[in-house]
Amino acid sequence: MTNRLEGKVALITGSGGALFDSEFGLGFGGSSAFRFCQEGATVIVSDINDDTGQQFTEELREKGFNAHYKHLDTTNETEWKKTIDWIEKDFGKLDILVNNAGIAGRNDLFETTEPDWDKVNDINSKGCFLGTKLGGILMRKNNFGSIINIASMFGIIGSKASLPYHASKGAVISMSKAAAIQLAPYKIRVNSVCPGFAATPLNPFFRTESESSIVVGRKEETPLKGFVPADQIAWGIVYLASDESEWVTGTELVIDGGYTAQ
Amino acid sequence: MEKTIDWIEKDFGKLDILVNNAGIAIRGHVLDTNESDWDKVNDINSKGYFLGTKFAGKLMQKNNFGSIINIASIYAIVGGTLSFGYAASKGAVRLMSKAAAIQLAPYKIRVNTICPGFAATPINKHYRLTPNAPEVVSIRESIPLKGFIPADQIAWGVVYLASDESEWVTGTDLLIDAGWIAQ
Repeated sequence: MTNRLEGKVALITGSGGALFDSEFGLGFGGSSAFRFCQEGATVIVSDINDDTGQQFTEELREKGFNAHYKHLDTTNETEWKKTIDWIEKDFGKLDILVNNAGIAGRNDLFETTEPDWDKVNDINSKGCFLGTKLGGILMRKNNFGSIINIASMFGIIGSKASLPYHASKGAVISMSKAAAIQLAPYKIRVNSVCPGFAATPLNPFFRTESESSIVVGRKEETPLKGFVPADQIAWGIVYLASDESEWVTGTELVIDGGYTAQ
Repeated sequence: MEKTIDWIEKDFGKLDILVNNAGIAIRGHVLDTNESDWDKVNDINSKGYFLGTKFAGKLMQKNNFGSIINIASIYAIVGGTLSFGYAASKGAVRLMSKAAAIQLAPYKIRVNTICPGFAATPINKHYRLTPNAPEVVSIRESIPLKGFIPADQIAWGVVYLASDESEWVTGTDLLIDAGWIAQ
């Protein structure tokens, strides 16, 4: 254990969807929760999957870490308010918010329906807005904070993948920049992380269909030839959460094995 | 460069990390930039990085491992009123890093840039010597976090890109600019 996040209170949304020994490993949120704990932070795991969320939090506590669980549907402003009020009451402050909760989409454009659009944009984009707003209100009281929004390299480039997904991630990158400017007076930093193809619980087909042409193709198209481990995303988030990046705001950290450089 | 790399191989057996940091700042409007200024800034800021990437890459290739960090600038991304040859040299750094990232990926050599914003370093000593000069005040006020970036912040970014924490980060730019480009 080191102390890069010693004394900091962190909320990570969508971080309770998997356990340490889950078939597809931890996702970005769970991996970040683990690394944050190791670096000395007080970590609030939140999710809509309460069973695994509570169990994962228990696993962290068994390792001696200061972890807590809170149910949070990130698309609901009332739930956000409750969560932030509870954090203020119980922990007195919020230093780090990771807006990680998100879903993927694989639909062809012509088969994408309005509800498909609403669902992915509600979770990936609106959830991020609500977190930035409510988390920002608490951070402002302390004139300190780091908000890390999980976008995607598909917020930067286009692909054959789901159009609403691209739109939602593009929105995350842009709103992070706008929030960075608007929250700079309160010394609240806002950045996004743009992962490339990663073998997380959100993309189980990367493992279950490892021989399929789309999965082989994605691996081959990545210059470093493989899928980005969730732990790599966690380390990027640790950097952006820590005081090592005190002067980093309004930017994207791309962790994609070189995919978007081509 | 070649001599240095040979010496590193002989004395240390390998090279894991190269930081191409040497650079100069030459200010000047395009219409006032003469050929010798252009050559000087591009030789040091751009050609120097190419040579470093090439010769260090050769040694790293033997080990199938390495991280090259090239110091670029916010002026590798946007234009400014007072620098022309400098902007060209930093833009070159940014794109040569992406090309090198692709070309060296088969050897697990990563190549990234750091793009610092306005930093109070020895190269910009007027930020400290004349903090109240109108030009310095106006730059500081244009920065969302209202201040000049400490060199140590750039160092931490370099540490991140040099370490195995960024094993899957290549061909990208880490901006450390206090939000300047985001506006």
